[in-house]
Amino acid sequence: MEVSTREAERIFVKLEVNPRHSTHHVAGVVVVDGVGHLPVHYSHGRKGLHGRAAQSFRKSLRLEPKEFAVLKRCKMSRDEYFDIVRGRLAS
Amino acid sequence: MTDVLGAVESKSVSEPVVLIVEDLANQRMEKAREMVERGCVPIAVEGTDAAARELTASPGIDLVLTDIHLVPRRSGDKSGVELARFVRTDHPDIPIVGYSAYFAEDELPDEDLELFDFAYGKGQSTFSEIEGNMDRCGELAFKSRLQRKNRAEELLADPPRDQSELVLEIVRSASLAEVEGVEQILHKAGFRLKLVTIPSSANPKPLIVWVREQDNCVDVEVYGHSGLYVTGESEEEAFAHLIDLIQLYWQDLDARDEELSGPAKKLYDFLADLRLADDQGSS
Repeated sequence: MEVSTREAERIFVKLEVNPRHSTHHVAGVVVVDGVGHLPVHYSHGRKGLHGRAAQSFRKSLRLEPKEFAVLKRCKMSRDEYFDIVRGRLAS
Repeated sequence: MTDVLGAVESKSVSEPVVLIVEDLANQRMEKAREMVERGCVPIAVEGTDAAARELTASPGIDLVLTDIHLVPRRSGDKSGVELARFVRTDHPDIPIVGYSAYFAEDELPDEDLELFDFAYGKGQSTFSEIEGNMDRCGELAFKSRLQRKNRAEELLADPPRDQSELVLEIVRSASLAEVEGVEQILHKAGFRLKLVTIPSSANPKPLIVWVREQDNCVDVEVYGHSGLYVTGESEEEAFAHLIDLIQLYWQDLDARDEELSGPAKKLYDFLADLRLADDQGSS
């Protein structure tokens, strides 16, 4: 699995993650119903995320591979994502 | 992070890990059962290559218990002796016990026998002899773990400048056996545990990380905090990225005003604790 830097940026925007930038990374927290729950980050180099780093990025968003693929393709709405995550955080 | 250090700080000696090397499946299971009965955690493999892999990837091993005649199709095979030689060279503090149903003790030259803390050969097959040898293995494993624990406590009290030694001692003395599951899988996938420190600190708090070298990159992840992962083209670059990421989260700690919960709270509490140690060290 691969996640391009552009895709990661779009996911941050869609999920309204307030990003903080450093030399190598962009990091933030996914806020669910006013509470910060999921820390997420990606490297903002041109190479994007590959292999284990891409899987870790997906896991940090609490998504299964198929769900993440949908989110990555911009086919999942913000509300749909938060419905999934609420269920996982509750369980 | 306190998972490993917490185990070091506790006064009890956690279950030692025994690496069993035996080519016969039923014997592997039998030896594993014997070790479990003596309060040890067995890792059982069937050959020297797998044993070497475990020794490299699993720094928690406290004792190696190996068959000497591991390749029955080769008459006179002494692969277990070769394994013992490797352990003596690369992991000199791990005790080794050798056994064989093929060789008698007096059939092995002294230079082979000297590699083992003790060895027993064919002829020692009565119930009480087998039980006695297994008891000795268990005692040796506990003794080995206790020695490592004491050594780690000494090192933690007075950390050396070269911290690479420290991480091995910390990790070995802590019980990786207590954290079965993810850690076991990581070992088998080739991850190594290492220790890094935040370079700005004069009194750094040890930070234990998983490291995995791949074909064209190195993955690093902080022990117990799967969200703190980075990748670099080299180990050095990956560690630089890790420091960069931690410092980025530190900045975010000050700016964040909403409540945190779950994984975010766990991570930020850990980072706050780490920064506190760093501030104290720098002051």
